[in-house]
Amino acid sequence: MDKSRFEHLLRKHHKNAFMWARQCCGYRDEEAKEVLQIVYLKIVEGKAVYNQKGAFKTWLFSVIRFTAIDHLKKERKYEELDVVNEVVERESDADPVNYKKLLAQLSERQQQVLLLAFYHEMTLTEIAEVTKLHIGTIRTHYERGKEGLRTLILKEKV
Amino acid sequence: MDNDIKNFFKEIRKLDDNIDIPAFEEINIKRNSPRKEYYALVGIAASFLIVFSLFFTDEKVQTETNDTDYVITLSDENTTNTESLILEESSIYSWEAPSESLINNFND
Repeated sequence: MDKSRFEHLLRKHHKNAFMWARQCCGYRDEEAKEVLQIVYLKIVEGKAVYNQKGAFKTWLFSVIRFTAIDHLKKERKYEELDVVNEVVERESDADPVNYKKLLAQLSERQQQVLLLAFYHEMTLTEIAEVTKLHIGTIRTHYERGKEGLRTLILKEKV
Repeated sequence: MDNDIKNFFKEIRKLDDNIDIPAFEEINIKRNSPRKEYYALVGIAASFLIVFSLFFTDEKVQTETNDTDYVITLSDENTTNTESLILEESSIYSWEAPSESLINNFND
């Protein structure tokens, strides 16, 4: 695929890509920007190769996810984990219903599966492609995540 | 089915609409191509070479002029004959006291 076609596709998915990067980075805008910058560079320099088998969005989301994991590992080597939760709490305080705080109570896998399914409207097969996990594992996270979130929503309403 | 979950994420999306998305150009910063980097390196090397060559050429010229500057001339042309500046004097170790013979005679 030529450069201009890549640029066109990246532009098309830019907003969703940024939102996904942000979700992968604990809702931190600056880190999401850095991650996305690394991802775009990887693509432009041909370090991340799109084999055109699946959808471009699925592949892009997968690159973002793994880049974010690597980036966070590097950045948070000496940082306490509490800092990550601080961002969610700070942001959630502004919301009348603490959506992100509620979601943060689920496991990381469950959060990501639900975000990809309901926020980014992906199928379970696509989610399996993004996370490089078995479809069965994804289904389990999906069902358990939904159950957990439902309970949390009910608790919040009460 | 799953309407409660769908509504939950719909609300999150609504809140996220207020987030400033950085422009594509802001994120997609183009790096210099390897060819440009290569030319930059060649340029730096060439400028170093020029500076060094200028430095060494100057030094060489300076040493050449220094060689010609030093000319030894005799200031006093009348005194052509050379006299030895080292005068032979009797050494203190070979000096003999005038009364030495008297001491010797006395011992005999």
